[in-house]
Amino acid sequence: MRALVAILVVLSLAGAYAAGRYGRVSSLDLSTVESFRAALDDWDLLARSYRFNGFLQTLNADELVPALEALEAKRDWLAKEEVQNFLFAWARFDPAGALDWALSQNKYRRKTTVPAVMYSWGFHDPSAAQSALETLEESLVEEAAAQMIAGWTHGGDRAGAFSYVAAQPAGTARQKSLGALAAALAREGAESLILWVDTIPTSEAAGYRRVAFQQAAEALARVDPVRASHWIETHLESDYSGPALNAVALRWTEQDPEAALLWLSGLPASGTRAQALQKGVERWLKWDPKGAEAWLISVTPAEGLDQAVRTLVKRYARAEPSRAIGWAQRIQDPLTRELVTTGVGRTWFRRDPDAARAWLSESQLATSLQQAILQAPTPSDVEDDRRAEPVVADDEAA
Amino acid sequence: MSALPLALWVIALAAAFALGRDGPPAQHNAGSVSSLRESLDQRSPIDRSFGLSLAFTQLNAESFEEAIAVVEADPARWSEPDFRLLMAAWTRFDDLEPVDWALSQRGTTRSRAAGAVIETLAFRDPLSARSVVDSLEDADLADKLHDKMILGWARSDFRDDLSALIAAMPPGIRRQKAAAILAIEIRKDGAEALIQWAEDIPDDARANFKEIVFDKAANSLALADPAHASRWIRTHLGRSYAARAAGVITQRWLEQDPVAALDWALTLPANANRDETVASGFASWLERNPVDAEAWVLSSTPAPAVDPAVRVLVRRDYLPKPASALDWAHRIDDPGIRQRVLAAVGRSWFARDPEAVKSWLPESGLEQQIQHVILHSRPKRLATGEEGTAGLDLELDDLTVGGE
Repeated sequence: MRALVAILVVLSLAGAYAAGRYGRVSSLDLSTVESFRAALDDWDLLARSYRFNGFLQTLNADELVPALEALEAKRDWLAKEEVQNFLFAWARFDPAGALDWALSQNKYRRKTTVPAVMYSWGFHDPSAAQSALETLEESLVEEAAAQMIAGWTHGGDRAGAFSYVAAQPAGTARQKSLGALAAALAREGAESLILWVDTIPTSEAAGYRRVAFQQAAEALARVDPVRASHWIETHLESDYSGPALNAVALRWTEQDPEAALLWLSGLPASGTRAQALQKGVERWLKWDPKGAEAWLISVTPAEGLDQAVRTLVKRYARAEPSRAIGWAQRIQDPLTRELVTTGVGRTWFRRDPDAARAWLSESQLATSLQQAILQAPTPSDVEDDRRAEPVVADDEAA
Repeated sequence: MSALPLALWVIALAAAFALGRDGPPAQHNAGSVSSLRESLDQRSPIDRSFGLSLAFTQLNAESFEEAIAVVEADPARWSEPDFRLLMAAWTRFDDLEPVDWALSQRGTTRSRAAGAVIETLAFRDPLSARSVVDSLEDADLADKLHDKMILGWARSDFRDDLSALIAAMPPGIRRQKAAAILAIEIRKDGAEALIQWAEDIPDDARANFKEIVFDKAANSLALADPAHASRWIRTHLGRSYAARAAGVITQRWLEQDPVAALDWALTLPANANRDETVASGFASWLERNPVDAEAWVLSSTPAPAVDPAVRVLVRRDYLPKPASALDWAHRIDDPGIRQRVLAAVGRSWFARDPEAVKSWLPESGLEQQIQHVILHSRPKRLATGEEGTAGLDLELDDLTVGGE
């Protein structure tokens, strides 16, 4: 009997502990306005987000007025995404009312509130959202349209969104819409995105295909740069691959610069590739100069990397010309190497002839290159030249 | 059962319940990591945020490794708000590891994750956050994280130390932004707190700090309550640290109630940048809503304070519609300025279309002296000694009010 009592006591204590431990989250009734108010007063980000969004999952017309009052009382403390989520919930059952409220905000807040409503409206009822879009003032339309299309795509009616964007007149608004559409598709997977662009009918204007391709490459490179690079390679011959190549270079460099630059340097030589390489190296140098330089030193010099090396030459040309000339010697194309070396050397010689001359005498540069550099006019020559110029030119320069 | 054991049993049950409720978070279960993955797939932003916050609440120190693996598998799907939730959860267990992890990421992931963790860290331990930001070599990232550090710090219990830190910063954009962030956060505690902060800054604070704080405080207050801001700044007009604040308030007020904003600007003393404030405020209103802006000028009694607005209209019209510009110029109240502007517009027009001016002048109602100036004065010369239409623009300096 005693043993049975002891077991019952232990079990009941364990049950009470478990009820306290595992029931604390589920016991909250998140659907009440009271819970929503508590969320707005909660500075613990996780608890706040849980209660805030838990309430919004069931927000309905009956609770809207007290919920909105609670929200507006804490307006200054709200994060942007909290307002957006509130509007998303509101626009589920009363998009016109949500839009009116969004439009009543000051001009800074309108920039985020109106697109948030249009995202939700596009998500739930794209047809009505299109009509609402036409009532907006011009300064709000582009971003609102882009978000409506993103919502429309996420809502599931991709074909409708595609048709709508294709029917937009060419211009920045359509470019923005294509960007929003591409980003929304990229979130759902690379294949959806690629399929969309690769099946754009040839009857569409070339400009439309070009912008769609560029926006898709950019969006895909953000989420999967390796997949984006494979896709781009199948389009390198097209006349619209340049901006897309740049976009992939930049996005991939942000994530894995070594892989991105190796890929770019292995592509067939072209002006487009050179530009993409330059952009990639510049981006890398900006956030990790030591890493970028170390990588360029570690790889075997190749013509494909000349543009990247030139970016480094440019970086050091003014502050450390000897270092810049050292980098220039890694340029593989002989003519380019000579031109770049001479250019940097001459600029140095003009600014500080003694230092340049002293360095050159110790350098391993070919005699012809040294002579070419030393032929640059010195500062005193330049001063004499300036004196000889007409006075009018000086006035204009001033 | 006697009363005592029963009471002890009830107390023990209550204690067990409380221990479970208030004890450490529930131990890791595989479900929380899988629900993290499911949350990322949610189409609705509400379901996504709800799912992420719930999943993070249920993770413990050990299970975070799996959660981070989920992030690393597809970092591009994580927005900055997502990272804020992640860091809020992770920093419950460890401060340093989340910082190291965020800074070891690349590209936009690094920027978003590091921004989230620095803001979170600064809220709890601003000095640690500061030492992280100060150690960064990447200048762009350091600038961004500096703003996040200021934001977290301004929202923390250590806010009182922040103003002195910003005052001691070297002049530049970082200092300006930091003061602006702090002004916005202080205003959330009420206008009086904001005003108190600004007024408590010593007049001789280094590198114009009081002026910067007045600008930012005026801006922050005017966004919420421009009338209150205008009453406040009036008590400081004429002081060097408040030189730009009236203009800042006018610009913010214009966005809400242009007529009230301009009417207030007209009441500023002439020595308190009134003309520049009226001109720049009116110019921005005219650009956004020309019909209402022109109607305001027409309904205003001509006065020296209104002249800067009229001159904005003259400058807008003198090239495309010179006759209209001359009509506007007639409304200038100051006789000396009016004559100079009329002559400048007339000369500009005459240089481009002398026949039109000759036929228009007799009917213009302009004084004979001005008509003579228009027809017979040579345009000013350029510094180069060349005559040309560009020289006419120099003359039209008469139309410009400083600050436009």
